[in-house]
Amino acid sequence: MTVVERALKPFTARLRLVRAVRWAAVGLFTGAAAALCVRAASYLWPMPSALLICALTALAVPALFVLAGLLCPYDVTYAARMVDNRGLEARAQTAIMLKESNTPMALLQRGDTLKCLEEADPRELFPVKPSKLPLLGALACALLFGASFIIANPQTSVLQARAAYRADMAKQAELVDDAARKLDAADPQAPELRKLLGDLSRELRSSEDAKDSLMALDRAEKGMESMSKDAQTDAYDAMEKNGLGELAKTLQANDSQKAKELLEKLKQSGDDKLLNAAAQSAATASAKANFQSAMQALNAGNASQAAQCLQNALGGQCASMAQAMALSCSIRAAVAQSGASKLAAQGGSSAAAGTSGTGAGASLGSTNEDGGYGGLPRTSTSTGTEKPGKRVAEYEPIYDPTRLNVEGVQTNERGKQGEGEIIEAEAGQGIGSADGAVPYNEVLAEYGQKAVEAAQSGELPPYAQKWVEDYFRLLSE
Amino acid sequence: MTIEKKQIEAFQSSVSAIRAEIAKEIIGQEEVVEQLLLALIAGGNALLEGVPGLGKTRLVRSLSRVFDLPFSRIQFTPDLMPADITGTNMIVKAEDGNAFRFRKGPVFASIVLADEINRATPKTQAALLEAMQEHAVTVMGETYELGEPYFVLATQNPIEQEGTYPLPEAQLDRFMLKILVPFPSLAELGGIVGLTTQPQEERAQKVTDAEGLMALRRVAQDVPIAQAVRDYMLRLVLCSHPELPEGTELVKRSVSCGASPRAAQALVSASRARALIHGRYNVSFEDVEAVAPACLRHRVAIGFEGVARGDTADGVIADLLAVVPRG
Repeated sequence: MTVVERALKPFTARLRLVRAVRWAAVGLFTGAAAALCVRAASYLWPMPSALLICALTALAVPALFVLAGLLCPYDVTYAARMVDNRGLEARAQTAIMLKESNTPMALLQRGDTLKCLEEADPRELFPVKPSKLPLLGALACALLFGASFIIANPQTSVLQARAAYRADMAKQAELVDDAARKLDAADPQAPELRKLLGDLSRELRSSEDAKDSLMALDRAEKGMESMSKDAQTDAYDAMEKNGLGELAKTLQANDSQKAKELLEKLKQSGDDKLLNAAAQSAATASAKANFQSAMQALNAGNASQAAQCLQNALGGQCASMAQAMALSCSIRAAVAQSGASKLAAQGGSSAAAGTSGTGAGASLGSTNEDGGYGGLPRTSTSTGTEKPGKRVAEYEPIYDPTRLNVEGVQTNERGKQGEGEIIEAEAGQGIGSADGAVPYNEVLAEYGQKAVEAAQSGELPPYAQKWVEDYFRLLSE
Repeated sequence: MTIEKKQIEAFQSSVSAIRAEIAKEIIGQEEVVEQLLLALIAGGNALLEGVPGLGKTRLVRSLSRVFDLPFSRIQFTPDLMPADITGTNMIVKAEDGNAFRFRKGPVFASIVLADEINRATPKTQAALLEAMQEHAVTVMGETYELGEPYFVLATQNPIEQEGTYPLPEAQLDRFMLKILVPFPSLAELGGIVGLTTQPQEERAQKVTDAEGLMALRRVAQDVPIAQAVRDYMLRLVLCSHPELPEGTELVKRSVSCGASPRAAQALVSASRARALIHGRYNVSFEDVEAVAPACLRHRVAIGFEGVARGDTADGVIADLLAVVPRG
């Protein structure tokens, strides 16, 4: 650094300060304007921490401007020009140009410049004066921001409803956690179920609205159904492979008397070891356990219990699975209730419709992908939508993932294998709109009927079946 | 030749002494004296314009006394011939018979005062061109050097234009500065009357000589110019041209011909001299702005539209100084 550049240092520092003050004013305006924009946006979209963001913006932006003003380096030539413009008459610029020269003229010029720089006071040359215009702009923004509190924010109720919904879901997640803890450790399906329930609990906690929650529930139920299906297939294959095909078909037909007779016949003919063989050839733990229980019951002379155990094996469910399914149903009901109350809180605002509204009984809509084996009763549902515009204003729209298609295609799912009885159930015409939002009164009856049927056909405990029935009855009243 | 520090330091005292001596004979007109000194130190010719009786001739005479330089005065009239200025070959009797001998004209001096230059015919005016630019005179195919220092200080009267021959652009461009001599103020006029109506006791004395003046010129030529200041001078010249994109609005409207490259040279040289006279060792924007009118006013030709609108060269230059950015 040359002697002139050193002499210019105090001026450079002062210039930085002046620039920082000037930029601070601009930063204040920018920050205030940005905060105002955030505030305006919070009227259009629900923003959970809008005021905090506004405060942070209003503080951080000027701070950044000040930092930039203080830290950005000043080119020494520019500083020389600024000093020259304030009365040094091009001395500093010339001195910097001649910094390498040592001619008598250059030396005299340098000495003259240094003398002038020494006599000059940076504070006098560069007074700190923030420009008024940005400050006035910032003040105007602040006034507008203050005035915005006079106008009620329509998104506040949405945020409150969301918070309440999250609290509800947290409670439901706790129930799921509790249920996962209480699963019977001896139950062979318990570990996998625990994992499914853990996932469900986590997703429920992170769900923003009923749609998220329902999707989480769908995933959990699909997982459970997949487990159940695997166990069913495995049990059926094991029995058929070990010469127990007729017994398996009898049990699937729910002919318990004939099944009991077949079992007693097996015991008498000494073929009860076939059950043991079936247990060994079964791949899933639940099928193995059910076969072993059936064999023990048969050995103890209790053919009815043995038939029940085998029925359980072919049903692919154990007690833990049933509990988990029941829990899922109850959570679905709770989600529907929370979704409805949220909609009510939003006052049926159009912004919330189609995204947050949920409907009761949506669960069955997601179970129409069964590729089951023949013989087992299957349900099939039709999916589709009606043309938009048929929405009934008196009823809240609910989200139905099965009604996303515009054309309303009806799908019938059949059993793909086996010789079992195939039951088709076609329920209702496709209704709704492209965003899956349908007035709940249009699907309530269909959902209720399916839910009750599903509750009764599965392994739900009686109290859980009653929940489902009561829930839909209350909704329709 | 290397400039020594003491020469540089002596510059200002020499100039102060010169001004003090001139002030003995010239009352007021500090600006005119300074500009004339700028022309002398920068090595350029000057054209003084003012009404009669303002002391133009007296000022030039004083200068020649202060610098102790050979001085000649040519009163330009319509019947003045080129040979009356440059000199002529005359037949003289010699030992070996008659012979042509060149008799030097009044142009052979260090300071030539061309009084009322616009009264002579263009042919006679043109006789000064070579002397002003080349510091040489060619007569009958033979060139005679005029020696250094050499200055032509011409005067012209802005009124009484009848029977005059306005100087052509090419000749005007040879003058480094065109200095306007203003009418004196009341106090100055009183001083002039007092000084000139009594027996004059004090006359300007010699301060330096030709060698001293050349030393002053060398020192002035060494004054550094910052790049930004140099660029500013060049922009001023460029912006005076109506045909160039840099030309200002007023220039495009009123000027028919902009300043020549000699204007840029004049700006540089005159600014350097002014900086030193004002005790600075570098040229500043203020120096450029101070010398710009004198350097440019005779080089910026106002067109028909400009004349019709009442625009003047000084108005255009003032606009240039206001509009052209410094850096």
